[in-house]
Amino acid sequence: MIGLLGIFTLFLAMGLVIMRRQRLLSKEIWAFVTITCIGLVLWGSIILQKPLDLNKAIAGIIESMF
Amino acid sequence: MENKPLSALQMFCIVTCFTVGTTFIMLPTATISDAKQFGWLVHVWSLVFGVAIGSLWIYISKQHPGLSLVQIASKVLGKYMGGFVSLCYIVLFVQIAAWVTRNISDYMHVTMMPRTPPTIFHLMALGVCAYAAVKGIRAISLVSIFVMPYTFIAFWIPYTVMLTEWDWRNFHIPDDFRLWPTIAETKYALGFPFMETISFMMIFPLVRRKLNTAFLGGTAFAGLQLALSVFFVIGILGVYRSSHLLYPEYTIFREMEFSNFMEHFESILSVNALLLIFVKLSAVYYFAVTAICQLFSIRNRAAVAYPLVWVISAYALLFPNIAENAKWVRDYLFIYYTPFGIGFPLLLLIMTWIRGLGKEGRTA
Amino acid sequence: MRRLIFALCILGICPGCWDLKEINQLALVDTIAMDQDENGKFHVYFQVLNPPSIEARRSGPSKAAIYTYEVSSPTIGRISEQTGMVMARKLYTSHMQCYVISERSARKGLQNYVNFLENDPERRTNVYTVVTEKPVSTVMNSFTVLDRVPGRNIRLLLDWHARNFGINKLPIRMKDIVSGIPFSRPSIIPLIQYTGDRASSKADQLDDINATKETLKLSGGAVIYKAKMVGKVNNEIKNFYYVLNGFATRITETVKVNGETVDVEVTGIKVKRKRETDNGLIIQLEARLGILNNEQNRRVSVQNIRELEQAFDLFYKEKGERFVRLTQEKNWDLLGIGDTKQGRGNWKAIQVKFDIHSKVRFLGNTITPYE
Repeated sequence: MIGLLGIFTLFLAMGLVIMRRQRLLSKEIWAFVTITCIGLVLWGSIILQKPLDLNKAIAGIIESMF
Repeated sequence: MENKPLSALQMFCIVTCFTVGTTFIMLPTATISDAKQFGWLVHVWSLVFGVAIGSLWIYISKQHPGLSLVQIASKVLGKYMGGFVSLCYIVLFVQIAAWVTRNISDYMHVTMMPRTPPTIFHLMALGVCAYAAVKGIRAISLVSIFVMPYTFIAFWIPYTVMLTEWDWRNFHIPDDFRLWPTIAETKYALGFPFMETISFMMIFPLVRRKLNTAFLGGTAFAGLQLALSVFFVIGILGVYRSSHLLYPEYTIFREMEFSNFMEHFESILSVNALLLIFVKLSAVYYFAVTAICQLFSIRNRAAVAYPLVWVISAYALLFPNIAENAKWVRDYLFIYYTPFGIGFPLLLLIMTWIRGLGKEGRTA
Repeated sequence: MRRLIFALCILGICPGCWDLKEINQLALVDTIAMDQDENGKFHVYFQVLNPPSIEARRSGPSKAAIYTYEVSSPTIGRISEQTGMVMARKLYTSHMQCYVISERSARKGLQNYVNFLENDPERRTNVYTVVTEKPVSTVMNSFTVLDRVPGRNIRLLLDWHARNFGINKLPIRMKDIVSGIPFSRPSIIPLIQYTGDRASSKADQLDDINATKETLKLSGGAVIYKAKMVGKVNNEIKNFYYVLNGFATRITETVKVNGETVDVEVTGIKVKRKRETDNGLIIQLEARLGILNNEQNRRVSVQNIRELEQAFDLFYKEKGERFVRLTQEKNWDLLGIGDTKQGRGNWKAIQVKFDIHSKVRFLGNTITPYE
């Protein structure tokens, strides 16, 4: 988990530095940060053994419908 | 969105690679165990279905020249409804990308590198494909032109060598074949891969000429190859064995003997399979990235593509094992794909007609 | 420069690192023999090549070409782990030459082995398989002459055996056992025998000139039905099985013509099956004959050749009928009738007739024997 957070911070920092240098719009920075955070949540859920399993959710919905 | 057009040949090759992609490592076992010696027929009718449904998509796209799937959705359904539909498609593309990534690592794990952790494969593949997605669809399609003829030759020439093992007995297994139950049982073959190609609606506007031939031709060509390769699998390995093996086509390569000193020939197939799958992954990755960019009007693809590695690499770990993956494909895939492949396109078409937004409507 | 550094960094995540195999840490396995004793314990013998000793330039049997490791374990899946107790190398089975299976474990059923081997991505099943009547340890602990690696020796023996039938590969590999499971026709796997009384496990015994005193020999076949050995047949039946099922196109036979012996080489064998009635089947066999040895002390004439052909046709017809009776008695569907539409489920009820047509094509160097 600590390793994951470390990599996350590193990735985010590097991405922000690069994007600052390229002078991108704030929209792009927001997209970058949001997607990375979604990824972090997914990874975190897997590492904590409580995966947010979309596949299972879809399967459950289909099961309950038919 | 890029504006440089794609040629028909580029479209043809990329569609072929996409359709063959993971299908030929994932499906043969399933179709053979469900349809026995008629497994190859399953792929034939799936291909007919794929071409039919592809014509529907092309028709919709022709109604809105120059617009991609996401743009059509927001034009026809309005900002919020259209945005929701687009978001669904984005999730689908990301999911497909994740499943394809997972298939790569499963395949490599089983066949060649059992000790390497799957995440390494995921990161390696996604890193390359994110780069390709940033570079654009032209780069990907050029790679597909380069890869397709080579894999075609490298697959079929050794395959024909194995015809020495052919046994017609394998086609005479006692089994009463009933068409409709078999279609119902193997419905996943309709969805995978022939409904995944809906993602190509993202780049339909880039193909200015001969879109029909390129897209439908590519689908049909790939479908025929799949059917033929399953036919070979049945003839060479037999129904009994191939329905018990994980990757029957790989096993055929493994059992090929050119001479006593050339062993491990199967690694060539593995690498070739990877080439095709990489094209598929890059394409679907590109579609996901462009869809996000178009929906939120973002200019820079890199800002979306690289963070997506996080999401996809995590999502790819969700299936605990290959059996769960196979069960998901068998039981839920078709139903899950139906709204994306048929439902939303029909909705778009009907709304186009009602609101008079189509090509015919505008002239009036 | 930046790109170069980037590329080098990417190289660092190359996934080969985990599955690295150093060539001098591999144990190149040539043959695997498997046996299961009465207590259900598995004994597996690995013949591992000793590379320095099989180099071409060495002459004479100076050093052992192979070493046999015996490993036993209560379950077959733990065998690889157990090899780590006696051998400091990783088993590498991609160059396997053959599997040897003891008769008692073949009779118990090969399902275990088959499932294990097919499941393991590092093992192949398109490898020749033989069954041995002698204890596996005797076969595995013996050197062979000419080809000093026994596994390779067996493989070449079987290759040559197949070549003599006019085909490249006989259906006697592990995978043929597997793909035969759903069918009614049993497979026949060669039996191998060791001719000596005790294993010749020392390389210096190879100095004995009598090559057949202590060596491996093919003798008959094991009938494998649904991955289980159900009986033994002799060479005659085994070879005829290959002929009637369309595998062999060449075979040698001995025919009596007017009470005298004629050895013929039967070539170009073509077998066709024709459905006569609902429960009648005709097996048509066409073949060319070549005379190898003619003991009739008279001129070979057209008439005499005709007699030879008729004698052969009759002989093969009778042989075929005997074969059919054997399949009925033993309840082995050696002709695979139960796999056809006609005989599905009740192959024993199908009447088999033979229709043999032979033509003499080759008389040898002499037009007629010396009288």
